[in-house]
Amino acid sequence: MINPQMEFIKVTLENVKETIKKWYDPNKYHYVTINATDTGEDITIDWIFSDLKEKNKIYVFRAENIGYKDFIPSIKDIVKISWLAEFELADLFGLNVQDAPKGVFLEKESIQAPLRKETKWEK
Amino acid sequence: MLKMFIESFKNLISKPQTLKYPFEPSPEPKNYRGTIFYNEELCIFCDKCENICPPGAIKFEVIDIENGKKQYNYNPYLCIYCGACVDACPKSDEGCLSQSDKRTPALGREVVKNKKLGYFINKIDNPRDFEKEWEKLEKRAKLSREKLAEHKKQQRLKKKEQIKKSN
Amino acid sequence: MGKITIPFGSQHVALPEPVSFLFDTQNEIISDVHVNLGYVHRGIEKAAITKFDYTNLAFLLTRVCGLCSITHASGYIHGLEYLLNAEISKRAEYLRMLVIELDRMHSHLLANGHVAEVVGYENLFMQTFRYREKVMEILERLTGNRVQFDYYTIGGVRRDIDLEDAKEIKKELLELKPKLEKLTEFFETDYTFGLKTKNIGKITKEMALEYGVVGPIARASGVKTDARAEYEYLPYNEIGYKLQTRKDGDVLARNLVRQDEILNSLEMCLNILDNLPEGEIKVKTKGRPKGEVFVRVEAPRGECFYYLKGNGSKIFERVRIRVPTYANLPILKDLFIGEKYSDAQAIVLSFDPCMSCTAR
Repeated sequence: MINPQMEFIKVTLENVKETIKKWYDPNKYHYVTINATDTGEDITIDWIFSDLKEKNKIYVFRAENIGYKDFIPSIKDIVKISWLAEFELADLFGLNVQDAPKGVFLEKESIQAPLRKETKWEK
Repeated sequence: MLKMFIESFKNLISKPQTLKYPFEPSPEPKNYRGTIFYNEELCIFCDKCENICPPGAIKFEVIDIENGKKQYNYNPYLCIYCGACVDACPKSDEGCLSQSDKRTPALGREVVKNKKLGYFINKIDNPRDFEKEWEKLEKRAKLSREKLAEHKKQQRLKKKEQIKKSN
Repeated sequence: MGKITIPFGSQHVALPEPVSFLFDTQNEIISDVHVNLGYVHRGIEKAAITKFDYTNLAFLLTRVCGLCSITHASGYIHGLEYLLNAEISKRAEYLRMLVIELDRMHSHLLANGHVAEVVGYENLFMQTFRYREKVMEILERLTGNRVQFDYYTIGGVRRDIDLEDAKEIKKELLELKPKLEKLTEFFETDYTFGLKTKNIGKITKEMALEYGVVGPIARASGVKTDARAEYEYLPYNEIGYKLQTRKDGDVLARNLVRQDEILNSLEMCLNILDNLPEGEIKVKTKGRPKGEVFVRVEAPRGECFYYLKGNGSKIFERVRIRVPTYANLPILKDLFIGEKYSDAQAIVLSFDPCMSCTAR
């Protein structure tokens, strides 16, 4: 059985950039992805990192209770490749992410923000 | 580069790797995953196969609500041949549901008919109607399920009333 | 000369899957790139949280992608087993590793063959695909299907291997071994292949770390990263797993890392077949998934990440898939700048991009 060592670090949208900037070191940590979860009432966003040396370790910066229209800061000046995951948040969750255009993952005619709980599967 | 040249030269005189398929048989491997076959006589109508089927290619339609009689319908066009239903079937050892290890004729221009493929496919003659009819069947099956549930509920109520009366 | 925009994809002879790059070029040197990657978005994450129970979700996730189908099943099922607290038998673990490693072999052979094809070396391409076919035949014998194996199940594997099969597979793998070694030699020493692949699309170690590159691409630049070593999901240390790295970080180094991994995987498969433990192949599990878990598994293309969140009901609340190509795309975009347009195909295919994984 797997044995993940998950470490949760609570952040808010205001201080997430600062916290990650202080902590992140590309030689020590590996950026995995940004993930959003729709709880039905609000959104939880995780910034996920793993450790290059320590086994099974996963760091999660978690911001909870985010409104659907809140402004989400981009961390692309700290982690260079985070833009792709941010574009995905904007497309699949319809969130307002800094500098993220819509339409990279979805066509304009398709159902928008499909991963929200309220979005129905069929048209 | 020279080594590759020698290898290429060897390939010129060696036997071909490919099969001349239509003229030469292409045998199935052992444990090939083919079409799902069904044997109604052994079925206990537990619906386990319907519940596990990932694409929903197996549907039981209740045809007689009084007795709860069901019919097995299978859509080989929708099937992904994963074999989950055979694993889930409690009577698969006896051959209620089984996965053929031989290739069946390609499903395309004609509808392949076989008693083992369930009721639905044997009712269809024109392959063009297939999709429409399957959609209709899905709706029918769902409705019949709801009716059966309603019927059972009322029967239970009746029984309760009878018990009350007799008391 | 002025700027010329050249489209590369979404349909292109060199591309196995639909992704579109728009290159702004000046004198054949690429100066800017625009990417469009949503051609094959199928809403798999949405389907996973609306239509599929945890019992048959693995069949859906297997179909995210053809080449790494077993990885997706493994990422999901290892996470689910953690949530259900299920301990699986040693035999099942070994059989899982056998299929995963065989899958890695055929995927790497495909990637290397494609690189050989786009640099114009058809002969080497044919040679590679000939050996790949053998691996696929072995897989078909083991699982019943060539691509989508459906081998994983909750609590174990779906099919056992009998003595006759094990013997036959071992024989075939032993026959394959000298051929694959020869193939590695072709890739390494061939002059014409080197002309098109050496010092092309170079990624330094610093760059690889900065961009968070994963898989053979990172290992070709000398970064020691591999989910098999960093995240314990299967007992890889018992069967002779070795982390393969190269230093150059160019197209050739990526091919050679893959080639080294194929040989290592073959070694591991032989070890598994020799030391297959006895026991049950499947254990029964109880309960429904509750809680959350982060899983990392090594796909042929790199680290595949799964996030599962269950709330005690049949259907998951969130299933997040982050595939290796998703992590490697940003560097690919920046890598094009300054390269010749004629080298773009070799660079793309040396990354072995899998768009149906990325768009999901």
